[in-house]
Amino acid sequence: MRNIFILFKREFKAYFFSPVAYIISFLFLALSGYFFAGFVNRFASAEVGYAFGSFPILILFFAPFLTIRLISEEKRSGTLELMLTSPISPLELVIGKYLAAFTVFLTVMILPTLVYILVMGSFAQPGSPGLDYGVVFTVYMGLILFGASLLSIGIFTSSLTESQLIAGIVGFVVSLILYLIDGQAATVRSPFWADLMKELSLQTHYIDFAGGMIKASNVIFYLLLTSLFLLFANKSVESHVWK
Amino acid sequence: METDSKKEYSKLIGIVGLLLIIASWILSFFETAGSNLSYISYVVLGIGVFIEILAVILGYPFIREYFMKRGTRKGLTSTLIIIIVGTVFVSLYYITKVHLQWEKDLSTKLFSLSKQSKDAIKTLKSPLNIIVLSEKEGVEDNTRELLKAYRDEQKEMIDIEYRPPFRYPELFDKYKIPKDPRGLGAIIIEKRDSKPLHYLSLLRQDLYDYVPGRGRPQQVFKGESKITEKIALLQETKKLTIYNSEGHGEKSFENSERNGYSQLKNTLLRENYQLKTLSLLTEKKVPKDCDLLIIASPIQPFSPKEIEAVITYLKKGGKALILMDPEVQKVKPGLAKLLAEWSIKSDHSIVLDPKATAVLDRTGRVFQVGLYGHHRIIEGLSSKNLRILFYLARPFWIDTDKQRSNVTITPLIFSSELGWGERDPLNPRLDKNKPDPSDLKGPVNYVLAVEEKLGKDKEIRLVLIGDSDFLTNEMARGITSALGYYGNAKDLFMNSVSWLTKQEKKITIRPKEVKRRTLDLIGNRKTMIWVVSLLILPFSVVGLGMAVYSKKKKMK
Repeated sequence: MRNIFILFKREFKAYFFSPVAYIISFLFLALSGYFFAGFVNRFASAEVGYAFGSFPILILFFAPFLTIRLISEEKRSGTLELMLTSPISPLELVIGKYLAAFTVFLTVMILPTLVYILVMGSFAQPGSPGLDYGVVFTVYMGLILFGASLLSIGIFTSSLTESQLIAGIVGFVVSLILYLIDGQAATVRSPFWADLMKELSLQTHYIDFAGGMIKASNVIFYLLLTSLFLLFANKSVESHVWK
Repeated sequence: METDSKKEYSKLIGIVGLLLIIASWILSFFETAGSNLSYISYVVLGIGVFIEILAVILGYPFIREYFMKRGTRKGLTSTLIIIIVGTVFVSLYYITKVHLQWEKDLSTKLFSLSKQSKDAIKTLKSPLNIIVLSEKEGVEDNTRELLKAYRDEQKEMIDIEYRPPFRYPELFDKYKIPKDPRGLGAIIIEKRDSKPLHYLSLLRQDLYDYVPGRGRPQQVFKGESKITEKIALLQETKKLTIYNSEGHGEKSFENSERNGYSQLKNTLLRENYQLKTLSLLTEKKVPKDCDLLIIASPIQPFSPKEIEAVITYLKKGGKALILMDPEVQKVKPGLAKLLAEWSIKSDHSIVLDPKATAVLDRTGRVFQVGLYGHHRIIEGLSSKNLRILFYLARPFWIDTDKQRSNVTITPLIFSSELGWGERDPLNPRLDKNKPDPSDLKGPVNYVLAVEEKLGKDKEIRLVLIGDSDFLTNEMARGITSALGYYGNAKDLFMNSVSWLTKQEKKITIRPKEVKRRTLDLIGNRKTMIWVVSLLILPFSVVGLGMAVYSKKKKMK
């Protein structure tokens, strides 16, 4: 546990002492702000689910940037071997780095968007039902779980290669496939594969959150997907020792 | 050297075998019923497995050596762990999804159902699927909130699925929804797992009514009464059967040409009716399962035996919808004896009405608009003053001397007092402004509803319409459709069918508006939102980054 905390602290500081976190945050907020302001000004609507409708796809674009260098950089510079000969286990290494990326994700991408909620809350039409804080809660819960699973995919792809570019591209492609896979379900003849494709989709499981609904199956899906990719990353780092 | 090449060959063969197995799997994705792909994919799979076995036999010493390595053993252990953990995860997800099914709706409800709707849902006998042909975001707030309210009322019995048409194009054919903008946002209410399909559907336009307002008619959302009505109707297990007579050149519901009624057929199917054809010449009598007989503008006359068969059916409490064009259109329906049975007369005349609103179409045809009476069939059309266009209509009149006391005849649509039945329509010197003494004096009727009480719950019902062209596919496609005239004509037809089959809407729910969560963007608030979202928030992050960077530089 101590090792995880040390690693977490080191990685977290590294993010903020480099321009990465600020650039990602700036670009994410500029784009999400553009879509948010565009929606709100056009429809004068206080429906959070719709106002934040573009956020999952934006997170999908930006999340890989937070994870690409996590393990691939250690591999490239040769520090991974050093770390693995120290008392830090591969699992501690993966979890420590993942938690740092996740905290950065919350700090630079999720937390600042609360300003949008503040704006919607203060401009609500007198006499209209105003903001639905239940939906605000579920939308944020959905975005956090969605982001958490994307980061785990990112850390796994980062553990596969020394090249940050390849790690980033592979991570993005895998995430995009998992996001859009339900769209192809209609083209598949077999109902089993069609259902499987729908169940695997990151998008399908987010929709309920956007509508104010928390379903145990959706929460479990994101948590299990995150754990599975962290396990993959752990095994990938482990293989570095015995290969 | 020889060992190395043997190793390479077995590896290569192994890869080819594996690729073939994968190819067969991918091929199986694109199989359709009856295609040859199924056969091909099995052949590819067979060849792949054979080559794979060959590779294992050839490379057995190398495979054995490979599996003895420490790295391989570790790798296999890892793979095994991943498989076990993966299986546990899938099982966990399955249990949560299928058995636990826990969910919590944290959104605040903006719409509550009326008592009638709640009662209709409480008495549901079989679970329903409500399918919306749209993405959830593409549906209006009032419809979405309404559907959610239905589902929340009884979650186990009602399931709502949003199916975007571009992803599920097959649903248009499956549920007979028009493949044009009218079909977008259509709502299908079907009995879950029912075979054959048992459903009713509503187009988006059906959810709204138009009431006269200042200037333009006001749109009123009537979704709740429409959906509740369909839910109640769907609980009735019997599917009503409509017979369309044939053999006399009648308009066909199968005919998709200009003169056909195929558009009406789709509407009838959507309303849960089943449509059959009836040749009285061969059948001799109207079948027992006939809930409604439609005689759609016969060109050749019915024989006396056929008329007798129809009268016999009607006398037992039968229902009929009869559309008759005037004889000037070269038709001879020969139904006078049938009409006389209920003291109604009709001859070779046509309706002329100088006071009627006339509409001219591109082909130069002049359509006439009639006046409405008072009856359930036309009350919706009459209250909104929606017009129906008739082209060369046959007039009906009532022989009041012969009318039986238990027979009620209601004129639904008729001419003005200045209108008449012209008995010499082909006369080149015809005066279209006033009748001759030989003509039938007005007002004359375009549409009549007849009801004869036979007992407490038994009655004969008839609707007579003196035109059939106003319901053809041609009218559904042209300018008459765009201006709403075809929609009005279809309403007259469907309301008549509902009245005749006693399926009239029994549910009246006052329309409720869903409260919307709106923002008050007065003054410069819009600009403020742009400034905060696009400038202040992103650039404050840049400022923070620069501050951290300079602090770090100072520390160095």
